[in-house]
Amino acid sequence: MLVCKEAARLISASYHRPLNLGERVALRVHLMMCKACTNFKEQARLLHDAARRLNAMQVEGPGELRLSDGARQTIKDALAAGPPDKKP
Amino acid sequence: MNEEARRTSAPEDWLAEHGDALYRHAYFRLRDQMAAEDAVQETLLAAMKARERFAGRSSERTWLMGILNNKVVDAMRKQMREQSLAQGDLGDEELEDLLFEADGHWRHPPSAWGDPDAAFEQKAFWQALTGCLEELPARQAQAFTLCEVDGVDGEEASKVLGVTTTNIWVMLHRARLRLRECLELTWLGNRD
Repeated sequence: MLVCKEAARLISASYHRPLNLGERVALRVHLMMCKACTNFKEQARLLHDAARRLNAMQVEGPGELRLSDGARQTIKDALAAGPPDKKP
Repeated sequence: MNEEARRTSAPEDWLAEHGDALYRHAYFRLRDQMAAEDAVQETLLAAMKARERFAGRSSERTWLMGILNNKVVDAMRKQMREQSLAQGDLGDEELEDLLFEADGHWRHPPSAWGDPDAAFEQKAFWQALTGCLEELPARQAQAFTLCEVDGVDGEEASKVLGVTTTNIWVMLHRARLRLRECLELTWLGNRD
């Protein structure tokens, strides 16, 4: 009998390899009885879909990370100096 | 105004227009402020040099992101060589013991999150998700970002991060467990 810890591992595994017949049956039986793992399966799917959208969004809107003023100035100076082998 | 100038804005403006987005992109993958700043600088310098080759088929942002991705992968390889981030999944071995009872049951059973599309509409969801990604252990976050966000396959990710593919799968599983736990706490505010 599959326990939740193993069911969760199989759910993750299904994202990088096809589950074999035994695994699929064991997981299906477990999920029929276990609401928590069914929720985990849906959460894993949501995380997967969200990750792809995050790529499209290129982590724009919500992120609060910004270049520090110091780094900004350093980069500005480097750009002003131009690429090493092509001075403006 | 010549062709080229119409296609890209002036290099001086790139920093203001794209700097923060480039930095966030790099930081999420490198987990290191200095390395991320360096990657942004190298990207903009490389873009300056390659400006004539910008074909205008993609947006300027996409073009810069493409250059940045190469710089980020280089920097990841460097991190791997220098082992400046904790190796592999070491240090998170006990995660499953924290999240599951000794008999294999969930300690905090996952709840129903409702309609994914409704979640994706919420600004709070994306804020919570990016916050939770930031809190992942560095290597786990890199594995998750490479494979799940960037869509790199496990073998490629294992080369970049210098671990086995099995390690990658373990890191991804732990990342999922941590992210779902974190989202229940920070996004849904569940937890007695």
